[in-house]
Amino acid sequence: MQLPTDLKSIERKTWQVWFEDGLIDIMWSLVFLNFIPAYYLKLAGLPLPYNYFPVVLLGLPIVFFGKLFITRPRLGNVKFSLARRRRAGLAKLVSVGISLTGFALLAALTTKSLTMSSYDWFGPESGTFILLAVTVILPMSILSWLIENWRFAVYGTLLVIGDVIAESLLPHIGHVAAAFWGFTITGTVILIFGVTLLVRFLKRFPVLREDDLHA
Amino acid sequence: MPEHDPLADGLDAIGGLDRLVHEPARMSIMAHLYVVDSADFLFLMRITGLTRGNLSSHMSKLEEAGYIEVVKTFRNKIPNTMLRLTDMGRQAFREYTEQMRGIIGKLPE
Repeated sequence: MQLPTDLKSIERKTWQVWFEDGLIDIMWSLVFLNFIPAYYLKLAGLPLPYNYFPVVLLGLPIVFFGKLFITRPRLGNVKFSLARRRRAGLAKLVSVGISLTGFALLAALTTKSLTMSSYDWFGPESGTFILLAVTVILPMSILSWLIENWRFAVYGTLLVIGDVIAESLLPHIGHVAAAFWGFTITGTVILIFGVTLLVRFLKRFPVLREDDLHA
Repeated sequence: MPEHDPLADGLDAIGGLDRLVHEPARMSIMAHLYVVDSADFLFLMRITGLTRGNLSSHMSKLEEAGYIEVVKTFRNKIPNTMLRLTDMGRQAFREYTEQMRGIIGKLPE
């Protein structure tokens, strides 16, 4: 039992317990694991950039239904302070911003209205890096700060690093191998981490009998 | 003029603490409710590590003192007990933490 020696750390702990179910980590792993299936979906006839969507969008119902049917029945419900709710609202806005920017960037790159040669003044690899750093690392860092969970900034950074690796390897080893080295290994590690968190959460908070759910 | 003994001053001040809040389980419940707007019975059980019986009994004592408000509702046809600190409870907890800080500050190294 924790005694109130530091109210700020109690509040932070109360907030962060919502991220200990690993669901958002699993969703992030799908962003990384999406690149090889996207290549085959493109070959199967799904046009760019829609071939990137099926695997990535699978993450949304995992988080939504996971929170609804796994997290809440085990953890209960809490209404946070107004300041925390405002921060969470701002985090949602940043998340939507990241998604829209990512989609616009992906659409522009894949429809060739924007090419990496547009960034030749930086050099192709560093151009990609700077572009992704601004559109991924920066907003992910803001999001991480808002929700006080630095894992998301780490994932954003790993995504950018993965892209630089994949872009560099692409001319030499082809799409699938480049995606494997750039994203799939990292995605698998994140997936294992997320599943481990989820299993630990399920063990720590088993479902209680209905009689035990209330006073 | 008599010399002040910081240890004795500290120990005297402990006698002035609100005993209802000073009990560790109730202190934990009040601390967790202090940092949020409201929480349900299950969440408090999880976050404080108390058993159902323990939480229920301390909850009743805090409710009787007017420190917490208990609202029983139904959520998807399942009974749900929501708890929140009353203004009086919030004030009592604030005073308690101030007193504790004062006592700890008075104690010698």
